[in-house]
Amino acid sequence: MISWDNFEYFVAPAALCWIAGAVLSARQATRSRAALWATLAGTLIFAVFIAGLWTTLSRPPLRTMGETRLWYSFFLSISGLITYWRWRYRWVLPFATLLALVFCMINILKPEIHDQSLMPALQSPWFIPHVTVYMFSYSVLGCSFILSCIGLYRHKPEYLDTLDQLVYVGLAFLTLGMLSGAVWAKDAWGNYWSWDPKETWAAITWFGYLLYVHLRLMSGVSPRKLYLILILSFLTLQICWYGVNYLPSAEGSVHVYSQT
Amino acid sequence: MKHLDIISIVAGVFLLFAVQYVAGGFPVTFFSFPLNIILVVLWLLALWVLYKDYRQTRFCRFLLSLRTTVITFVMFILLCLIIGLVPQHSAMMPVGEGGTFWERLGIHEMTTSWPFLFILLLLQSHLAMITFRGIRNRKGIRWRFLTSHLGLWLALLGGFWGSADTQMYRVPVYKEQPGRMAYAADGRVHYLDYELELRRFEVDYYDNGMPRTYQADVAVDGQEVILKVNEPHSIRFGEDLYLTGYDMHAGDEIRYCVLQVVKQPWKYVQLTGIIMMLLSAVALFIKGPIKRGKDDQLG
Repeated sequence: MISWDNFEYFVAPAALCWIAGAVLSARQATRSRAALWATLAGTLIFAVFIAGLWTTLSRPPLRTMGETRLWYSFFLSISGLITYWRWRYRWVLPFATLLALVFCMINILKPEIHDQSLMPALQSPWFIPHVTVYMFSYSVLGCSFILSCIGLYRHKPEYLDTLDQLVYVGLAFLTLGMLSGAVWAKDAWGNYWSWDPKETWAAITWFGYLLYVHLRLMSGVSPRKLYLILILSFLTLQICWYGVNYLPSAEGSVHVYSQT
Repeated sequence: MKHLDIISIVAGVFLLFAVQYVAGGFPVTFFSFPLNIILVVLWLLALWVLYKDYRQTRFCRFLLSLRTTVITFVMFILLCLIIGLVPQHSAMMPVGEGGTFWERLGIHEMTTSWPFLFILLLLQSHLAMITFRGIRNRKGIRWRFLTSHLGLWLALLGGFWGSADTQMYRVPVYKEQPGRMAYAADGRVHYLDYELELRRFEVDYYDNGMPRTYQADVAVDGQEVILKVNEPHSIRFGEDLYLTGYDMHAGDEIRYCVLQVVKQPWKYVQLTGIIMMLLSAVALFIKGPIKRGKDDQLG
């Protein structure tokens, strides 16, 4: 029977495969087949654990916060794999691996989170895709933030080309996350969009990245301005993600789940 | 003058803040059906004529320019920052003459304020114009361009023009007492044209006593339907029934639940826009960045 007690025995080999894939992909400029296979192997080991836990619990493991973290890690490795396979970015596997392992570590170090229950509003088929595409988008846009900071310090023209690719991938997933959230909100609360503080900050972030994309179509925009927009957009993203819980405007927000 | 576009938009926003101060919030409900449909048709017609016959005018070039995109985005972000930082009141509690200077500028009811709606209208007009141009001119990434821009335009259109037709009511529904009384957010009573009665209510609890799932079996004119959180029931075109709460302190014998009636006939327009944007997001991921130099005529 597979349960949380055996989690470490699955995470350890999966992590080894993922790290191997990350290192292999980062080391060469062309696409590494070995990296693809290693990452896939890690993801399959992880999938076996999820399937086993599903069977043991005789229900889908979507209920507790710990269980949803499993899916973050799982989907992050898959999104990373697809992005690497399609685009050959050498940064994507290391980054997806890092983030997937952070979520695994939280599950190992804080076992009490397995008991935290999921309130009825969060029990929806939209929960997993909504959160995981956001997680992936946050990880890619985090990468663009780091590169923008470097660029602001010392600009190189090729940075902006890489940033374009990062922002297009990040923006695509950000859009998927936001719109799946809108469709879900209609089912849960009756409106696609209601200017709840979290939604407002999501809109600010989204328009920030759109601003970058459109400024890149104009000529004569200084790189400094572009870097600053990406840095500021990533900061508004942090407010949207968790900072909004601390704002006075968020009192009574339907998105603050921690108080219940 | 090189910066006439920026000056005009910023001046427009300031002017409308002054209107907000003097006249109060925008009279949204005035623009309910059929006035909103008529205005949308006239507005689109005007934009189309402008695009077809007056392309060389300054105003038309302004509505098509990439600079307008950027200025509108920046203004929109700035106004959104107000919504995101300042607690927003319900539109049902308008600030009267007695409000402070800042309150009278509408900072607590930004989403129904004149300047915010102006920027939204400008954004929609701009999107409509570049969509007209995109249908005829764009090569290469035309499909992605049209789904993303037309999709955003439809989603905004449905939310913006449809808000006057959106009605929400709370309905307490009791066991063995069929009723049709519903309450708007401001407390006004509204009578539904169907009768609601609670037949059964089931709650499943976690070990810690928190509710895990709950469902209500509600009779709508005698026809039993099951309502759960995240699973509304469609009454008819544009009208849905949501389960929002119940008699929490009753223990095992729950006597009533609270439903929400949402009438939103424009939701189909919004949903169409959202689906188009979802498709364009997939295309954005697959196709990646626009190659610079290839699409220089973007404008």
